[in-house]
Amino acid sequence: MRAGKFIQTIFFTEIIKGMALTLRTLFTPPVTRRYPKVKRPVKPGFRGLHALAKNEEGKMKCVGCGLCGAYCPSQCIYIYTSEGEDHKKIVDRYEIEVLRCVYCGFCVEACPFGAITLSEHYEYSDYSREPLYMTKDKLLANWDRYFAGEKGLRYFRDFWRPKAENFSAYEGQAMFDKVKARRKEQK
Amino acid sequence: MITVTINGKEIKLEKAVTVLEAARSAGIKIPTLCWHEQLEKYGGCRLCLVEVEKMPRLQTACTLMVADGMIIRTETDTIAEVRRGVLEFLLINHPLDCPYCDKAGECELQDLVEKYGLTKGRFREQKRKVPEALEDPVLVRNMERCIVCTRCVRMCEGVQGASAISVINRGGHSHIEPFSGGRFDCEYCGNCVSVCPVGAIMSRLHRHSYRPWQLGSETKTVCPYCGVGCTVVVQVRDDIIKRVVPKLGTVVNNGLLCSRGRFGYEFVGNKERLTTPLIRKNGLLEPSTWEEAIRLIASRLSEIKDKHGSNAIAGIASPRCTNEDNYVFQKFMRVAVGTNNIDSTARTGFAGAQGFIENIFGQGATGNIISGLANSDAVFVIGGDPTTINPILGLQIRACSRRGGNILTVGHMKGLRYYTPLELRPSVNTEIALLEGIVSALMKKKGPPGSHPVLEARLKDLNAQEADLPRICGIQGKDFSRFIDTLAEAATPSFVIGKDMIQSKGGSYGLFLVSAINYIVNGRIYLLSERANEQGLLDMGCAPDLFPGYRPITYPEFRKRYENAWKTGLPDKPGLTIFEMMEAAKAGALKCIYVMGENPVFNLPHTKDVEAGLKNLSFLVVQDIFLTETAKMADVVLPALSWAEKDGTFTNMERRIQLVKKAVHREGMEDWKILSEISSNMGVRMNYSDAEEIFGEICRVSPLHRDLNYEEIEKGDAIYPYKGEPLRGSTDEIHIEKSAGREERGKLYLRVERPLFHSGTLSRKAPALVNICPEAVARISPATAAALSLKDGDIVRASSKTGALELPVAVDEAIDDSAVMLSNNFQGKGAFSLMEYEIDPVTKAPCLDSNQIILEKVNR
Amino acid sequence: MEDIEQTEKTFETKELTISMGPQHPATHGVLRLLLTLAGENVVKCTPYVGYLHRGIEKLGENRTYLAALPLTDRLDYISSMNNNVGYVNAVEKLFGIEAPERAKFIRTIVAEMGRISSHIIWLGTHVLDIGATTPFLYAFREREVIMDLFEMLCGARLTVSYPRIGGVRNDISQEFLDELYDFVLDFPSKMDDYETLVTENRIWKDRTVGIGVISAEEAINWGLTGGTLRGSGVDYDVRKYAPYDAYDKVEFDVPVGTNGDCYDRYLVRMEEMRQANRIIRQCIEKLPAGPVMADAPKFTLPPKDMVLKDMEHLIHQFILITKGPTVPEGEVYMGTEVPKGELGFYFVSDGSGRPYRMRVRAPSYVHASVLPRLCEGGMIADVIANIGTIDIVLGECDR
Repeated sequence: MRAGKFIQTIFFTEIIKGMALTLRTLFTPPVTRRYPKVKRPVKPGFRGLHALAKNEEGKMKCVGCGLCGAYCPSQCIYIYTSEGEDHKKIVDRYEIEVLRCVYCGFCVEACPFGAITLSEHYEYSDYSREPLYMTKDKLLANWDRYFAGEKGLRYFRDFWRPKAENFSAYEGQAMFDKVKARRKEQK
Repeated sequence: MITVTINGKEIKLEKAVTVLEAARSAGIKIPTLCWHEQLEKYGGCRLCLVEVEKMPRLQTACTLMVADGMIIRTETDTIAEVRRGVLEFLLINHPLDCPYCDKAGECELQDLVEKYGLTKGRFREQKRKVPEALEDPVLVRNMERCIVCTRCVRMCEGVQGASAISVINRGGHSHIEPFSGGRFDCEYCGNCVSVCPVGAIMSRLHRHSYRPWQLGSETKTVCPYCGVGCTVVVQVRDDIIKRVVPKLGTVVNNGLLCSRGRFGYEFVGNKERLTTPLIRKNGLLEPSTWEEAIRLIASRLSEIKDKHGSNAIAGIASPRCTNEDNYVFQKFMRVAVGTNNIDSTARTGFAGAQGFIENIFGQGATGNIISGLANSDAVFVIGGDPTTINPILGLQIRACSRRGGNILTVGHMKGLRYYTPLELRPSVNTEIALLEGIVSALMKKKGPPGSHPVLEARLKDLNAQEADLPRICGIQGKDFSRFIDTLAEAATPSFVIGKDMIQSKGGSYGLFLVSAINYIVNGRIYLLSERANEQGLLDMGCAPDLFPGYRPITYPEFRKRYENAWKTGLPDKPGLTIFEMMEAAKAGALKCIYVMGENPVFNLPHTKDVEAGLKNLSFLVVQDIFLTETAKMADVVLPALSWAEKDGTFTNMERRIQLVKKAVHREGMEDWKILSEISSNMGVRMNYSDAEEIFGEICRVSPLHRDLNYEEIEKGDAIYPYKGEPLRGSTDEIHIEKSAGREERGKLYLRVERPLFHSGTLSRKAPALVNICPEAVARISPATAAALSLKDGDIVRASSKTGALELPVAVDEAIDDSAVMLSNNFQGKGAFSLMEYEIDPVTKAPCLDSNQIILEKVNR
Repeated sequence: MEDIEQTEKTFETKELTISMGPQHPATHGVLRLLLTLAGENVVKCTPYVGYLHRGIEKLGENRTYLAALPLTDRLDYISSMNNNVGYVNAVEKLFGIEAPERAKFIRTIVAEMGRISSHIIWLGTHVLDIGATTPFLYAFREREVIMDLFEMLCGARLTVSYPRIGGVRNDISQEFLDELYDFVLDFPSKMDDYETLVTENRIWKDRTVGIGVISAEEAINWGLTGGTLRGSGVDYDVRKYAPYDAYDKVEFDVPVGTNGDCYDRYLVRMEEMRQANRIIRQCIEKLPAGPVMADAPKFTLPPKDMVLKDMEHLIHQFILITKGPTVPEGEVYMGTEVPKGELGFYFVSDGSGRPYRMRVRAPSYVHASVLPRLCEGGMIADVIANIGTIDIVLGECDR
């Protein structure tokens, strides 16, 4: 042991080992990205910019029940409703102060209608606060932009939780034997 | 002593109460739904079921009285099962409305289901469908949500006494409906709204505009309408008053409100509110800056003061402003201007009557606890319907009747008609004769008590024609004797005196006679007060002859005290009353009037005279929240802050001082602040930082308020004199001026109607109240209608000596045959514009009951 | 010593007070140390905390039990998953409910992933502070994999808010499980890389061996927990002593040090990463099928597909969100082993849906207090090593 230590001390073995590792790594592909030029793909269900969902008729789903605002831990959702001409409740203003939002996605969970969603869009920094104050119109436009077509339906199927299946064992649950099977297949 | 065991806990009780009350006193929670502390027990919802040993079935805790040795269990599996079942049944027909229902979040049904209910419904059947009832302008009924707990029905019947709604249909189809069909025909107290546990009856004023958890702040303050001074809670979202709700357990109103208090708050956010000072330039009122307006007022006031003397300036204070505002106002007039010409519309009745009665019985004789009325065994009502003038006081009279007390009325009181009053309805202008008769009959029956020689001496020269009374007054002899018997037998009678009594010819004599009756039977007097701070205004010395705390200015020693306190000399001559001011203005002796929060053009009788007087002034300043009729004539108009936007205190008719708190924020200055700015510009510095500091000064100078402060008031029971000087006793002199009797039959007299839904010029800026009662109508009796061949809704031209109005008529059985009732609330349609007056020499109040009126049908 | 005395004789010296932080690259956030120096020797060291105070405890008292969860993300923000798990475990203990087996395994998996990612950051920054740049880059490479896995799991990389009271937000996907298993198999070789670079490195050893020594007894008295305590040889791990989630169903060792210096704490944490990896592997292999949310409808949000169909479900949705559940009265303390030490949540419940008192026993706060003990008497350069070795995060410390 003492001899080993002596050799290590005079021959810098541990340093050389480290150097060898770094040299080896030099020839592996880079793990970094040149970000603004190369975009990072986000995983489905990413909790990004908000959008207000529309139904099949293209109307806003939100009825202004205010549960999202009540649940919101950072209290950044403001909803103003009033009595419409047909005496129904109409949503005059639905505003999210994006700068205060923590993207926990609790509003999605609170909504009984599936009216508020979090899109996969995350690049919206700006120089002033005003563009980051989301109004009803902006949020509805976000729906058209980020949830067009099938994507919107899929969002509610996969990410509007909890679902009844969360309270039971269902078919197709992720299990280890499937992992094993896949690995066997790959080999 | 009763001993019961609830959940193994032994509870000792003084008297038999219900099991529910016993459990609550021991801190054991039993869920309830139909039970409400203000209401009669019902036992309908079955949620409060408990197990009692040796009783075969579960019992409702809310109706079962405890008996000695009872062993009760409130939490067993059976009970939990039953509760789950009850709630499940309630939800069978309950619509999936929570996201739309304004009640969600404060819904008792939601809370109960969460605590005691099932987590999964088992019924999948169709729910019942009942369309929402939207016919009413103020209340909306959604009977799908109704769970038929009948709280609203019991409130309407048992507490409010309006009996306007009931359960109709049976079984699953039962729901609540007003007898009048879609639209309510009731007093619009809205107390059904506050007891409804779900969203079945709700106010339309704030419909769909907030959720309970979004309400930002809650301010406990005092209602701005009448002299009762109900405690209200103002709930605000984003500086907009969303609703005004009562609070259970408060001293004055204990969870009850009237239509004005509950629905009349919208004037605060009215778009017509004044925002900037206006200055008359080239005959037009033009927006200006505070600085310019204040400097102009200060310089013009100083100029007039120098040229014509201080007494050429007068001030009109406001019973809608706080004590602090009024105190600063009178100090400003007395110190900066140097005159005693300060008065207010309290002069039209309250001030004089209070002074008169206090002279007989001593100070504070009119300030009695309102809730005490319910404990009287007889209530004598004269001169106006308390249920419309002071609705919450009216409810206490109704409660008195319900507890077995007798209601005695002179004249017909519509709001008390269901309470089988002993009613004496004297024919026109014969009230005095009737009162004389009552006094002499009572004197015969009970004899003089002997404790007030001055008053008794006065009674000696009473020459009542008792035998002739039925003929003179047009009443039944047996009614009269029953009336006298009941009054004589009453041990704790109360007397409720309205303004009509004071404003009648010979009003002071009438007041004397009522006081005499009160003296003989040893009762308590309540003087109805129409404005929130009529009492406080007088306390603050906004009267031409009194300093704060009712110290007469003519006594040099009192004057000295105030001169020391305010460090200046004070004028020693009593000033002009409000009516004298108008006379003086017309005559040209008065050059300037400073009006704070008042509308004399509209609120004083004989509009034309008032207008002429104000026109004749060289300078008129009006400080108000709206551009009123008076403000339109002003040279400078200053926008003030309303009741919800400032701190201060109101003193109600009980002499209870209560805090008014700022609920919403608005740019601008409080009335006292404007005055102190002007005062500083005139060279008299008034440096108050806030209302509390002013109140501190009030407590130093006013002997009645000594040792009071905001913290003490906050505790609730600040009825003055709190720790201050005792109230002044009675004086040895009673002035009476008898008026010559009149007998003019067959003519119509104009009478001021004091409707439930309006109060002066403030309520007409509240859309909800205007919706309930949208326009001025002349109310006539069926006999009058028949004689003039009029029917409901016909347009008539009502003309008197001073003017004419065109307005619709309404036929109302409650109106006397010789009277035409017209309210003084609607713009351009005020009763006062048709009225002349003469001043009662003692109370200095106007006598308004001899205005004849002619109705002619207008054909369109 | 002689030198110093000699110098003092010739020169007039005086103590120098300097402020290190709150903006300093080596203070791990907004920690401020007021150092009194005599030359290069630290005479006195006073930590000042509170620059990142957001009142999380008070905020928690103003939110329902359900809605306060994202606040815990922001305690120790580099291992937010562990804070979430600690929070939900404490609340579940208060509510008297238990998460289903599968959810417990999933929580154990993600908590250990959080531990690895936190320790990787600790390794990278600790080494970087002392002067080695390379391991930092390597460490962040692996952290990125875990972050990506978190994103796949719940849509967020850092502030995950993934566990729920009574279970977890959503079930894991097969894809996630596959990728995680690949990572787990691969990770030990990465650990070897770090060790190659650091463990035997003579500069590293010079800077850490015998630095910041604290004895076992003293460490206990200071209230140290986690790797900081175990480095001194105290075999204390909440996962072993009061197992929660699935820790009683997996095998793992609790590494302990001997000397209580920076180097031993380093060794302990390195071994912990290997053990964490072992736990994840076992959990994946034993993962049972079943629900991931507890059947406790009075405490958990109802399934979305039922809310607008059934009145009871709708009412529970409303009440749970606006007022919170009806909670048994009483108080509860629950400690969990997070990467930094023992994170404790203490609740006092008055029966309403919001905690009457929510107290967080933050290990970073306790560990920050031991800094003067470690630094005083040492050299100023070792202050950096000491800050790195106690592994504090100011988000948790200041709360």
